[in-house]
Amino acid sequence: MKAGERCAAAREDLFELATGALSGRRRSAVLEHVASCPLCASELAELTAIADGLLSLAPAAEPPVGFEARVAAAWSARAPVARRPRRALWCAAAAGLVALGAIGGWLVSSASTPPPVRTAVLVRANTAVTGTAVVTGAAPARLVMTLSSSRPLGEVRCAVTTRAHRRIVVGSFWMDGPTGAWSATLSVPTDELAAVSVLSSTGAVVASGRLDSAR
Amino acid sequence: MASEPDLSSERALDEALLCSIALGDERAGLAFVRRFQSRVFGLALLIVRDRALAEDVAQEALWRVFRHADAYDPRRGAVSAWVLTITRNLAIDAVRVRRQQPTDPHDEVFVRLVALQPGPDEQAEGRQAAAMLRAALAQLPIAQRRAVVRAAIYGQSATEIAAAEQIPLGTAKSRVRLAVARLRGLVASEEER
Repeated sequence: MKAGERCAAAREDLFELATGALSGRRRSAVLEHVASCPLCASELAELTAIADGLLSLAPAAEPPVGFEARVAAAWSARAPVARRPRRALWCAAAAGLVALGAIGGWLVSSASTPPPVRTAVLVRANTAVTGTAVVTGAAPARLVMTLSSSRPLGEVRCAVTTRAHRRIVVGSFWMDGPTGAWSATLSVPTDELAAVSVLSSTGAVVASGRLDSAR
Repeated sequence: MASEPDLSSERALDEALLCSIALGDERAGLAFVRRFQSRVFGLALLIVRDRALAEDVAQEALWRVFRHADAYDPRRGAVSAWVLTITRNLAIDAVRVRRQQPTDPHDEVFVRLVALQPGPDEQAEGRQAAAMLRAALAQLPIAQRRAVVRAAIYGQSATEIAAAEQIPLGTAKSRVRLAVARLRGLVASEEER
């Protein structure tokens, strides 16, 4: 079969591949073709976006009362299985927690080159605040931060420090519960960053950590 | 520094929560459940049409997300798409096991999907795409809308669509193909506005 014919044959089935309806040998054949054909891979990505978008149109419905508690109970009951050592591969926040395995994870999950990833574990001894900061991508870099605190922190500011010791406040966010997550797009190149810190509204350092080397 | 703190970025928050789950933070897990439970349960209910079974499916879907958070790949799509795909697949499996036949949605489903007012999520930044897609779906001829919804939400193959709609296989295939092409075109033209 010629290349054009292979594309035409694969495209017949691409939407079914995107919706999970394709199975068996045909699925294997189409997947094999897509892996070696950038045009069909790009087409599949677009069709998957349409299929994902349609799924998101399903009307939300409140689950029965007590759902959340039952989920938590079920998780606790199953937790011995879940609490295996976790390798947080995709967010690569494994640095400082689990040093090995992250790069392998990127490579396993995709054949493409992984974006540069730098992580920091945010701590400060006397504040009982912990968190992680992950900087991914190069242009522009993206910072994702998660924080845990035993008490509500209210408004906090996130700052990055460059290798030239310049501290730049990236933005502020509100933390009214025990955990918080926040993200921002950075204009400073990833390799010029040295550390990430969280400041209280008065400017005191609540938690901070040095970014590890890019991987 | 020209940074753009995007607190409203739903996707970034989902990713950060999932990241915390992958690191073993169970409180993040519960926050994630609160954030997704109505969407997960809603999709499961749409497919299985039984509240008890939908709850089982929703629980299992969220468990799988919790369990496999470290395997999520952000370059392959949004967290919400990943969660809803897991939910859809489990719901389809559940209904097939129970009824031993493909699901057949009520007629009202095809109307409800496009007649709903945008939810709070869709008004938020980052959910405009859903509103555009909903509007585009509403513009499709009903036969095409039925075909593409059967395919995307109920996971039906062209063969199953042909059987359910009592139309030839070629017609089922062309309805799905035309619907997808029109959705892409309509979404693209909305984006250009």
